[in-house]
Amino acid sequence: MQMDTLSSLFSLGYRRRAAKRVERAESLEQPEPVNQAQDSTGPSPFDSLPVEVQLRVFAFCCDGGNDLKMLGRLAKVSCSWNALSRSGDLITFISMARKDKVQVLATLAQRSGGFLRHLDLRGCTNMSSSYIKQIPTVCPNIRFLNLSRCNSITSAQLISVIRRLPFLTHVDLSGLRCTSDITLDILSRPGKLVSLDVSYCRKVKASGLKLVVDRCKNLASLYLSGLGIANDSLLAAMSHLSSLQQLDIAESDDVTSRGLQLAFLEPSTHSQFLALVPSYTDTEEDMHLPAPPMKFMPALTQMTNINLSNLSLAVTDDVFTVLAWSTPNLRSIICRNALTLTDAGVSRLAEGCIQLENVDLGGCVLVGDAGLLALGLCCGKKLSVVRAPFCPRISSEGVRVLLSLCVLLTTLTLDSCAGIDDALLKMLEHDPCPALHTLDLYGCSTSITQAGIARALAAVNKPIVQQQQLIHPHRTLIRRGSVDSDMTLTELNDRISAIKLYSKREKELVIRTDSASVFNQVFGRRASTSGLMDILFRAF
Amino acid sequence: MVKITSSDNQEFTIAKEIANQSVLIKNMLEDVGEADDQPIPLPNVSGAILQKVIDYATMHKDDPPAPPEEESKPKSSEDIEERDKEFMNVDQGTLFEIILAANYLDMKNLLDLGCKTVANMIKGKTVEEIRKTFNIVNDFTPEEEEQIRKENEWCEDR
Repeated sequence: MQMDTLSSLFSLGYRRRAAKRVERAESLEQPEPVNQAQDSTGPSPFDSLPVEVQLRVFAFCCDGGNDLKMLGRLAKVSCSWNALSRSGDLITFISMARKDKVQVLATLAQRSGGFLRHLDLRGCTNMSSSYIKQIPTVCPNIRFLNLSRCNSITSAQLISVIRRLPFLTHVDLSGLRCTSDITLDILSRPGKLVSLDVSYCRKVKASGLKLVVDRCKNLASLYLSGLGIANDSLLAAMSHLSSLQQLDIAESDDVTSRGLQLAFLEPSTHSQFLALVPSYTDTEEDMHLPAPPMKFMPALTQMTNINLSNLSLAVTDDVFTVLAWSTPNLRSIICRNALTLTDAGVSRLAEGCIQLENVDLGGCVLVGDAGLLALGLCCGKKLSVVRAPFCPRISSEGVRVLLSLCVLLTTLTLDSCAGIDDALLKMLEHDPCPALHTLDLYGCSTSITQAGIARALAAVNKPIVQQQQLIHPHRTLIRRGSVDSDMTLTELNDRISAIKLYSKREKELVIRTDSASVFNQVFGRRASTSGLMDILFRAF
Repeated sequence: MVKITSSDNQEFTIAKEIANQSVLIKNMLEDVGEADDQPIPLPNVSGAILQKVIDYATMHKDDPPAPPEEESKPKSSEDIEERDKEFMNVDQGTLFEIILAANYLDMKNLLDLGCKTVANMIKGKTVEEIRKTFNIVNDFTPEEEEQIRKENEWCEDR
């Protein structure tokens, strides 16, 4: 195929040239003398480069066709530059996200033809059917296709386009109304899909997704947000996808806690797992999984990003426990409104997933300071974004501990957390966190005062606390005083001094003397005590 | 250890793992075998430039092997390590000679670094500035120039 020869020109070129190099050596022109450019009569030093190297420079200039303005400028420099700039392989990437005219698309597509790998038409609602039909004819080798929200496309057009693009690996159809199970059937037939986004495609059903999951074994990303159709049998099928890294199943009502747990366990051990947990019922009041180590093989171990938001009551502490066993590489977890999730689950997760960088526990009303502490202790070296809005159990002291443990934390969202007060701002005055640049306190309780904010802002230059939200601290919906913290101030102070000691002096010593007393005192009544002690010893 | 000689007959003795970063030399060594201790002639590279190339190879001798090229990923010229930026802080003549040497010696990382450096010299410049930077003569006829301008209207005004 023509495109293959040219696109691999560079890599093949090396080998060929290397082989011929010795014979060619004598006949080649000598390299240009130094500072040729200053000699206005001499040839351009750029001309001394072989054509394939010149093309490589051009490719870097216009970012694979991303920077078309640059490409246009290169064409105007000279005859030879103009000729070079017409190389089809400079454009492997077309993005219409910038509201380009459809005419531009046509010109570009014609120019790059078979070289085009990446076509991004998201949000182009005015595409005429003739352009759509042309795409596979002109550019048959597209790998990345984004038709998100291109709602002028009809179901028949979509199917015809997809059918004629056999190399598709990354497909984004989010919000494209005409996407249906037939689309997914055709898309999944070659079995090449690596990434699929069908968020908010209301016509897609679980049966269509099952085809994708069964046929595309290399699937790394699957975004099913807002579909509400993921169910336990789909999740069970997913546990075969060993390379899955990104999964978004937010807002799926039919998912249960058990289904989520099974998804992260090797399929062959599912029956064993169910036998071990026979008492499991949908009420699952006091059912807790046996503590690790488990004898089950984990599945989906490559997972790095997961979104489990709004799964009604399915995300329990046990789900987090299984996640902790199975997904050691987890970088980001978004888990909003998990109403039954407690500090115990968060602690388990933190213990197992020490690579976590981004954690969103918004609306997890039972998560409090102990969860933050566990996150800080286990993932403190990596965490950069923590979001915990609408978590009434989180107090200023808990946040203070988190900040003292997370040196890289850049963003902290605590809007509408009733437990946050001026004490947090005071702490910022004295001990500004070096990396923190966004602190969101919108709608926090009345105990955040304007004076406190002003003082903190005056003392701290770096954290740019979101201005608007600070100037108008919203009168809160969750009432102050409803904080049900298990910790008293003195206990927390003890703990903080222990942690401060830890950071300054010999770690071992502090733990041996302080940890047992302080932490038993603080967490003595909680079921998670033993878990937290474990964390401590590991983290220190 | 491997011996190489430059176009001006300077001889360099370098460790094998450094020499092997050049696919050209690597292949030659495989062809001639271990026993031969004849210096490898590199008639396209001057001693001064060869020294720079060896410096680069030494600096990067502990790098992990490059992952296979992701063809779909748009290339970015911004992606340069600080020490490499430092290394490429040379006059234009030397820069182009290093690129030619990297191309000849088949050292992909160094070639990319050179190309990125040149690309960064081009980016953000007007057509006239580009011509001046690389000493390029505008060889369009007025008619051609007008035509090119029209042809490229679609990628302006954005």
